[in-house]
Amino acid sequence: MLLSVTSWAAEIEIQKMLTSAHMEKWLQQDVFHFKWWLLLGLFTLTILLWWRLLNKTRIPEVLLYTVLTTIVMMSIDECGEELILWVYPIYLFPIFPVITAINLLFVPLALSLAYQYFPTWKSFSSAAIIIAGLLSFIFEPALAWADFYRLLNWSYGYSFLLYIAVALIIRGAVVLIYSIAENAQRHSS
Amino acid sequence: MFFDTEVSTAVELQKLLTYLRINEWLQEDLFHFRWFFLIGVFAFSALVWCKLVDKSRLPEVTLHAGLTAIITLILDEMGEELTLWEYPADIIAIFPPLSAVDLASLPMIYSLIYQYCKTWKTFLWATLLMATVFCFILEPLLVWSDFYLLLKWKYYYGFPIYITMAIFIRWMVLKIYAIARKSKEKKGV
Repeated sequence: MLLSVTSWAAEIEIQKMLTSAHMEKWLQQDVFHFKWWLLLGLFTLTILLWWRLLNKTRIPEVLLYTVLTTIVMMSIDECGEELILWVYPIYLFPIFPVITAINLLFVPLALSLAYQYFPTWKSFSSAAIIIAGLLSFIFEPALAWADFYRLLNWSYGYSFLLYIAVALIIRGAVVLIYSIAENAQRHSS
Repeated sequence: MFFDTEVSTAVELQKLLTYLRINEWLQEDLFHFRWFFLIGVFAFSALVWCKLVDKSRLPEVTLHAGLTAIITLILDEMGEELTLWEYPADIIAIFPPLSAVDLASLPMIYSLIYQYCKTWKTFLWATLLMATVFCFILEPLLVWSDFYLLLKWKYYYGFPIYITMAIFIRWMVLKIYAIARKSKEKKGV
């Protein structure tokens, strides 16, 4: 079969077609249109608001939480798009569309603020459940309604569980990283 | 349902691409020698990093590694979508940059250079050396062993990118810690 001999050549051709389809659609229907500006505004506003609320004294710790959550969510988001679980019908930027998806911005920023404000496992878990609920049952349906996000083989309940799991696992990781550092500092001093 | 043609074209192409990738992965990658080799590379670099990392500075070095991972993932995926390069062997079939050798090596090496080189001068020399080794030794080796395929790319294109990335991320981490220090002083802690 042709495909098995030059399988990556076929992949590259289809990747080319896919990227040019993204590009063309973006140029014709997205960029500089009203919804594109709306998305850009929402992006800027969210980042500014997050920066204002961020406790600058604890910025290394909260950013570590944000960065780790971003890596995990970016991977999940891209895998979901490749597996056709969901799709973003409008892009800020047509290449690697997922990184400019609004969900990818909201989830790490909202959860990192929860990390900052709720220092115990108990309070953080409740905050994570509330944030996951807001994101998956209010924010995401609103995005879907305005057609910034489409669920193909997915449901909001899955998002809810996923966000809670990610929030807790990353908090565990950051707490562990800081306790290892504390131990090492105590031993060396 | 308003399934406009442009979005559904992209979704169909994505479906085909993912299907091809998974097929190829099942037939040619999974449990083959190169697949185990890649897993070995990941495990080995994670172990070496854990061994060499300064535990008392773990949060700072992890933040550096995390930022490097995000930028590496974004650049890798963009290059792949623009068909500049291709990773013919994947540990997992979806989101190929996630399991590319790049992600196993760049964040580890960058963050260790950050840890060991405390001044800009030593840091720049180390970065220069690292970029040279990467572009002119490691990448040709990866191409030769068929883990990496240059489509519209030359080895030396990566050289300024590796260096700019290293400088930018070091600057960012230093800046983050400087903001925290300043804010602590202001509060008189």
